[in-house]
Amino acid sequence: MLQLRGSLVRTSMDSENRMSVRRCLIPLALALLVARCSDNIGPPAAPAALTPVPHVLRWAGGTPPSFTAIGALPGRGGQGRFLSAPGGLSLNQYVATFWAVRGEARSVQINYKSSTGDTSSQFLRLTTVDPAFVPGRGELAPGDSVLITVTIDTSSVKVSLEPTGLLFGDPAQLQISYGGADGDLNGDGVVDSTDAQIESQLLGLWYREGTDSAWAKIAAVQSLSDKSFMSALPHFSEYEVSFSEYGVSW
Amino acid sequence: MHTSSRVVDKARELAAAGRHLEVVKYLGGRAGSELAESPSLALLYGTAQARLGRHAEGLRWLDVALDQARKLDEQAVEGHALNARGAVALVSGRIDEAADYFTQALMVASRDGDDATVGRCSNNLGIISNLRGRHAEAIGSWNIAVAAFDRAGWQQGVAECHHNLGITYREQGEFDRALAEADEAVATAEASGDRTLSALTLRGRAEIRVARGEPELARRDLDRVREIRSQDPNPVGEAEDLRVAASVLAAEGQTAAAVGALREVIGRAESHGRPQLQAEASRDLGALLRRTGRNAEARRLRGRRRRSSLNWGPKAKSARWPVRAGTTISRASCAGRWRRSTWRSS
Repeated sequence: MLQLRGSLVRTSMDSENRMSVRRCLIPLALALLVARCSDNIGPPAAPAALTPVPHVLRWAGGTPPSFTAIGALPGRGGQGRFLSAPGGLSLNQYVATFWAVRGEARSVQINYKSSTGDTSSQFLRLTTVDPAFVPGRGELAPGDSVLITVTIDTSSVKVSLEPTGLLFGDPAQLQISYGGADGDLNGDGVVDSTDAQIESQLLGLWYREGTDSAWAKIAAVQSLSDKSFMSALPHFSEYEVSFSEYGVSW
Repeated sequence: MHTSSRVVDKARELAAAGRHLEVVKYLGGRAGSELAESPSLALLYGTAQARLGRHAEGLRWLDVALDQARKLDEQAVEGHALNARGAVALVSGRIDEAADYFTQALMVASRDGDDATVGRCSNNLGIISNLRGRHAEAIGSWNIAVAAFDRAGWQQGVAECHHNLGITYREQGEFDRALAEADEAVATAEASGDRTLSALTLRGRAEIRVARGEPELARRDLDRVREIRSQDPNPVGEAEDLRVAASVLAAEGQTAAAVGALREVIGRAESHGRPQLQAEASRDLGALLRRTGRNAEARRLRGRRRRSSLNWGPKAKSARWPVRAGTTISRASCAGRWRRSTWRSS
């Protein structure tokens, strides 16, 4: 049996961003997680026992990685270098911002420094073309823009996207890589067949709206060669699914 | 025992025709002990209850069926009951739990050589793959399911698979292929005599018609659905029908009527305890309100949705991802739904 658990850490934010979040509702968090794997043989005893208990991937080496950003606004870290949160005080997160413009392809790419020192490895790429509605502002006209903030947790492979409630006409494209875990997906210090099994069968892209919300797996296409997931985001929050239209076999 | 066998046959006949309310009435009129002692009857009764949206009662009897089937070593019923248990989880939005059950059911059915249940599980696992954005995997599962259903001679299953394939192709913007699958689904469902399934497949085709910009043809399909409902009432199904009808109204530019219809869907979904339908209709309504410049109303609706979603708890939360069309596989399956739900003409 493989039972993976991990504490899920809400990204802390500096005071300026915290105020922003309060104005912009609840932050959306996306995470690369490994779902619990159970060895139950019989039927589940109760649905509650099957609520996903995810395990967030950790960065390799146990030390916070460094990041660089392409396409982000120059931060207070200076020169467009993606060093730290505005104010430069946070040690446990990195923040990048960029203006998404309705009708224009805009993107931010964040690379991490791998264990070999390579800084060209892509961690995340977010591309927007059609931001359509901003909470508190309403519908965007073509050419109007909205500031998008990407916050990265440096202890685990986890990001937050804001403003929550932002709606896209054509979905934003998010690609997020788990190569920074260096293959050790269960964090036991060894890269072995268990990690391969996790990668092919258990790994997924998950999200939640806040610490009081459940984690939910989201639709994403995995690329084993790139070690990444690609997902289309119609908006940054409040995702629901309907199963009602499918032909379910009873 | 002989009486029970006749009762099972009669109930199966009703269920095969999609007359679930009649199954409940027929079996509900019998002694409780008769149901509790027969895994087949408990399975038929629990499934009918669940398909009518009475999940708690359905689950109670499906568990009885499962326990009895294991005690009596009736593997066909055990596999079928496990699948039905998973189907309840699936329509309730608990996809991980559903996948567990379908996998267990598939193992039991494969051991037992039960093609019908192999088909059921494969079809349902295909749905889950599709919900997870694994479209190729989903199509593979549905093809396996069609083959199994063919071997079992279970035409309803074949129709369900074609219907689901139609959804996938619609999600990917391949409307011609989607329509071809939907046509096949409608024809097969009608040939099977299962009226509930006919309504589902017609409604599915109507959604494709809307996506193709053919609201008049969509309306014709929905009229046929309405005719079926008039003979075989299905409150949950009717709420779903109304949601699609609202999209037709919106496509026709009848915004006020569409808004009214969606508000009614929300109310019905709430009373039937269908959070996914409620959420979907709320989202559609919000998009329509915004499209027509009624942003304040949309924001109020959004606030209500948020409060409502918090009350659903983790079970519903586990399924909050729109899985609909994208132009490519990598765009997951969100875009088409989003386009549809915002009723954009472009």
